[in-house]
Amino acid sequence: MEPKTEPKIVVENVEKKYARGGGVGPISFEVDRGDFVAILGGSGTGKSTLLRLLGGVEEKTSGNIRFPDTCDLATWGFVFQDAALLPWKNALENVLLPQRLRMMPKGPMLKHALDLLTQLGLEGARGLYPHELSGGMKMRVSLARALLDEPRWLALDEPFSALDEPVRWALAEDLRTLWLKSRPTVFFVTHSILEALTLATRVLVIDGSPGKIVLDRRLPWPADRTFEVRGDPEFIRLTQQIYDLVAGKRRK
Amino acid sequence: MKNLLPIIPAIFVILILEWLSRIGFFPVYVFPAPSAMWTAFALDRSRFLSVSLETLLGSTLGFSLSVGVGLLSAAMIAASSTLRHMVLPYAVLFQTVPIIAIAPLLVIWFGYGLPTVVAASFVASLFPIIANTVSGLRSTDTTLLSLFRVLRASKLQTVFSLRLPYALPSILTGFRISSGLAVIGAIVGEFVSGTGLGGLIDESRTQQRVDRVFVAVLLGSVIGIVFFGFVQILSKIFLSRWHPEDQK
Repeated sequence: MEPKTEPKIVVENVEKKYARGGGVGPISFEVDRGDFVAILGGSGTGKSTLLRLLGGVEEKTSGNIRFPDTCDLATWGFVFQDAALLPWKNALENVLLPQRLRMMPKGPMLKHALDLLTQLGLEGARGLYPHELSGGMKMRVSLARALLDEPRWLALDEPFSALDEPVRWALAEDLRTLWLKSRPTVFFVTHSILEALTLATRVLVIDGSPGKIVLDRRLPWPADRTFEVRGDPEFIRLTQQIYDLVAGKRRK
Repeated sequence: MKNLLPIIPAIFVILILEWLSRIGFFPVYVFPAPSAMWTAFALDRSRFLSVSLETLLGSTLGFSLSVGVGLLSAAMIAASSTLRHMVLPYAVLFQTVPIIAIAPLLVIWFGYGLPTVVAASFVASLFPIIANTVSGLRSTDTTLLSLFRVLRASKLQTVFSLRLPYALPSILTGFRISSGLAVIGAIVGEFVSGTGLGGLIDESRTQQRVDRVFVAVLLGSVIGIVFFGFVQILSKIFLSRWHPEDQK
């Protein structure tokens, strides 16, 4: 499905400072509807902070973030690094949490929640509690919860960092499938250059403390590319370039 | 089957004590034979049962008061750092005063009878509930708090749908500790007010009836076990499905 033409998110000179130091910005960029933006950078460069500013979890120190009229706060889906599931709710109840907090009847969303769990391979796990789920299953539940409202904007904060390689790539594939289906705008924070270049349509590299954008690249491959793209010479060149930006400098 | 395992050492200890008593290892006024304790109980069963019920009532009222006051105070202390800094040091100070030292004061304030027993039980069992509840309410996972902020949950929803359930294991640990202390507090209160098992222990002590003292102590332990069992059942109901520690 091609993305509808809608106004962009405009980030203007946004800055977040902490008393303890660090933070992010000032930083400026624009993001089109339907983009998959990977935000890359080393630890402490403010990637997660930027995501939290966009999602309204944190208040910015200065600057301006303009959202399209169609983007109200309920249209955000958020996936955290550690799944963030309520331990006393089973998988299905965790997926339905956003709706329960809005005190709406369960009925209409129940089918959608069950469909999401099925799409993510969790049809048999809907009644299991978080301590009975593997790391990958927990992250899938978290992803299903973020997608329950069919969000226009999806923020993922290093969602696969705690998973082993096969699970990580299986989940990345699931994420791509779901993104292609409804094309929300995705902000995907990651440490993995490979993950960013394989999934995203655009890459922002942040470096320094407070972090600033040192590379903003639209990727040349189609959105529905396969993992074979990793053999492309441009992919290898970009990997090296980003590596030099985020890690190579420290190596010297 | 595992639940019956504690009975094995109990039977073993009773048999050893009975044997030691019969061969005269202990003088009867120091440690009577278990069979003598049973006889003492059987001869005055109705008195033992009625004073046990008095202790049970005093401990139940004291523990319930601790739960109500403790949860309410803890919620206020957890919500306000100013209040926490103002009140918590005194709560710790209060906890270090031995209940036996203030029991005579309670008699002066509340007179002989149930009010003193309830007050002693309340004082003895309040602090663990406050301390554990405050600790539980303040230890909510920060990512889950961020999630609730992202989902635009109201303050009330954050308290009742996140902070409170998250604190439940800590709250029930506080209940578990306090349940035993409530019985101890009640018996100490009875000791000075002359009622219940505490009063019976004091009376039997002055009559040199060590067998009756032991029976009363054992009945006090039974009440403690009943309280503990009640909290375990609560834990089972509220936590067993999701809290691995409580699934055992």
